[in-house]
Amino acid sequence: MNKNFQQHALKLATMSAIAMGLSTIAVDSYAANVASASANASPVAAISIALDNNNNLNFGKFVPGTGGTISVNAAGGRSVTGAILPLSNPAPGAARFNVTGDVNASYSITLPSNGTVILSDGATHTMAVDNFVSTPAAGVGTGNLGGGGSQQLSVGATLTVANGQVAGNYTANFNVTVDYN
Amino acid sequence: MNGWQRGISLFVMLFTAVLTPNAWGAVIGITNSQPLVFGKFVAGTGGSIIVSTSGARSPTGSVVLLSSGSGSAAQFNITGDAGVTYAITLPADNTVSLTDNSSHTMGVTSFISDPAVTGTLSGGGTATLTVGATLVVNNAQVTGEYSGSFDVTVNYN
Repeated sequence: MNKNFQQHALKLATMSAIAMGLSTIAVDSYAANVASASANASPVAAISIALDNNNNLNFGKFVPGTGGTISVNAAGGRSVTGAILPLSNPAPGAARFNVTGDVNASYSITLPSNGTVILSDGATHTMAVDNFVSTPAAGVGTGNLGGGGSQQLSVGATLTVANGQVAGNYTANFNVTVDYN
Repeated sequence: MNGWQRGISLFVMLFTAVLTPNAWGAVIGITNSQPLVFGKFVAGTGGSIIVSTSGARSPTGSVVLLSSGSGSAAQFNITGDAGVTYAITLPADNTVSLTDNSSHTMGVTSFISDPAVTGTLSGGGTATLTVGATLVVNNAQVTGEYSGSFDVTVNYN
């Protein structure tokens, strides 16, 4: 009885060892013919632009005379052509925006096309604003948000003044668009 | 020979057959050398990003890619018998996803490879495999760093 029991137990042990041996050869990530790779992705915040501290594009006060143009560059400097007499108060100024988004991201800048921005005195008198310029310059990937994730964008343009332009306050709005690239 | 002696013999035979490498050539092996990277993007109202086997990214839907965080295909190195063909097994759809470890996920589907389906080991018994896939981006996907992993299997065929 004892001997039969021992033989039976040994047979069971042998079969268990075989079963265990076979089960450890199952294919998994640690087998030579399988490799694991990592994958990653980084959704980031959308880029945004906002006017900084009400720094609008301002051509200032002037006497039109027989007309000409007034240009305000991206640094806020003003120059005139023709018979226009610029006055110093209020001072002219470039529009200033803050662009914010992902750190070190480059972005594209789109300024208004010529013929799309017209100042009006609210009656029937108008003056066209064209040749928009900016720092950074308009174009694909011309801006970069740097390590702080933001950049200042300054915008100037050229105002066309008619001979005997009617006196008044002329205003309009214009859009500047930024996109990651 | 009695019962347990036969049992031991059987065990030894099986042990030998399972653990001895193929006497006719090298076992095929694969290792990973580069991850699959979808890079930086804005999710918008959602869409997808396709990374090709060359690592180029293409967005769909409202997804906008940032050049400041480019993508790349996963790369694997395969070794085995010279000139022998092998079959490639990529993950099935709906089996791989990335997580930000804060309950937000994005699925990765439509795995593709170069070579596709099968390849041939070189005269030196090596091959390089690149793998791309499509990342599914949800509407207003929460920003962050998402990661995950996937397996690629090769077998002589």
